[in-house]
Amino acid sequence: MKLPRVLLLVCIALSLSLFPQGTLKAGSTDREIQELKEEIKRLQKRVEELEKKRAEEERARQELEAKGKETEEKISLMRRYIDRRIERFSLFPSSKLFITGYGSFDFVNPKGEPSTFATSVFPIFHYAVGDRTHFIIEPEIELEEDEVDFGLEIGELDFFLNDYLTLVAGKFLLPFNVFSERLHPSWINKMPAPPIIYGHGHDGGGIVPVLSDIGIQLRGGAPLPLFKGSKINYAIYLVNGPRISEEEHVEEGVEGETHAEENHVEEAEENHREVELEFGRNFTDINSNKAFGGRVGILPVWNMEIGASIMHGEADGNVDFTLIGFDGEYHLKGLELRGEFIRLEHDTDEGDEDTNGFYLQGAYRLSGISLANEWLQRHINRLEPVIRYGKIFKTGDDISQVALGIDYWILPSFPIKIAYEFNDGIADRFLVQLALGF
Amino acid sequence: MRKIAFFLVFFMFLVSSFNVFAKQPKKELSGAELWAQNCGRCHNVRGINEFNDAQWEIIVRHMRVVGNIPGDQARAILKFLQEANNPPPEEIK
Repeated sequence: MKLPRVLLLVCIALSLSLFPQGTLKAGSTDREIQELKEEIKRLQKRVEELEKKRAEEERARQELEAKGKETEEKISLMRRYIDRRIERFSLFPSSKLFITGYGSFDFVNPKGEPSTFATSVFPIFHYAVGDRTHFIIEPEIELEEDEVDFGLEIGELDFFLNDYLTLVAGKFLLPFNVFSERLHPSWINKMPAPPIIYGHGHDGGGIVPVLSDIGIQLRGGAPLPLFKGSKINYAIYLVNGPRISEEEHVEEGVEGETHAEENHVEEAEENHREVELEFGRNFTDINSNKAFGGRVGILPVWNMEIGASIMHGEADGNVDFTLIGFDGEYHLKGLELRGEFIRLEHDTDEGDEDTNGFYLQGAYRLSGISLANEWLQRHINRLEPVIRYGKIFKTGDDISQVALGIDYWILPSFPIKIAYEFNDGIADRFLVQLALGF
Repeated sequence: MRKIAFFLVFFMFLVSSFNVFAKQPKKELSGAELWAQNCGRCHNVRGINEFNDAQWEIIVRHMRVVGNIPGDQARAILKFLQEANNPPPEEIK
């Protein structure tokens, strides 16, 4: 009985050693697997949460970075703005000094006469004090023949009495028509030379030069209740007025000294005194009769102006003179039309003499032209053909001029102008001018 | 005598001009429109960035005299030029 019992024990021991332990613990392993699965799920969830959090942080970082850049830009813009504002007061605390001006380099080739290069510079010094006062000084520097010609074109004080009236005192350009005052600077004038009625501009000739004088002036402008841009402008002035320049032409063939007395009479009869008015040279008035004048301009619409001017006075030698002028201009897109008329009446030994003259000018800026070639279009758009016709009616001495020109605008204030003048009464001229407004 | 008469008539015309016309209801124009209309009549308009605020102030003051621009219009032109030249940031407008 003992042996089977031993055998039974051996069998049990063998059985225990042969079967794996897990098989024997099946219930507890399933639980562990379940636990592990749950652990994995938890971990996955955690990872997802962390990834989500990381994405949010990345998004926040990017937003912050963008905001930082924007803030930097704003700070830079504000700095620039503040710097510009500071600039306004950098020269003087309550006044401002500023230099503008213009200059030109010219080539003039008159038919049958020597050609020449020429140059001139007109710096303009501005000095502003407070809100109402403005000083302007414009010296002129020109190279003429063998000398440098210095002059003072403008030396004026402007005082704004109110929005519609300004008091001007000193040496100023006269508001007679518009060429003298507004258009004569070389970077503004569309042709290399002034219109024929203004001769050589600053240097005289024509009927009058570019007009400037010493005195006082009241001027201004006001809107008119007609259309958008309708306006009236006005100016009156009292100035020293012109001087008389007399040229005596003596006939040849005067008798000998033995008949001196007789000759004197003959000379007086044969001499012809030509009276010429010199404007802008009467720095100290030679008589108490001041010249006065004014201009009224009406702009029924913003792009059209019609003006009328007058100047009257007495030059030395009791020579009365009157200048009458009319001017007009019209603008339409690139087209500019303008014209002026001048009548000068004055006394001479032989009675009253009058000289009339006018010019008409048309210019068209080719800025509206479109071409397939971009380079060509850019250059064509800078071109401005100009045509001008002018005539002076003087007893027995009419002069007329047709001028054709083309301007190339390198910059709005930097043109190259080429023109040919077909003149009747004076030599034809070929002109090239490089002008700069600064 | 003729001179005095002329002066008086002209001066009365002047005075009436700026008193009467100034009181008329004006058709408002923006600074940009006034700038284009007034400057472009005589010469090419200059680049806005060509001058700084202070320089524009003096230039407009000079042009107000030469171009007979009424004071309020000159101020509108200056404001336009200075703002266009150097636009203030939104935060300090």
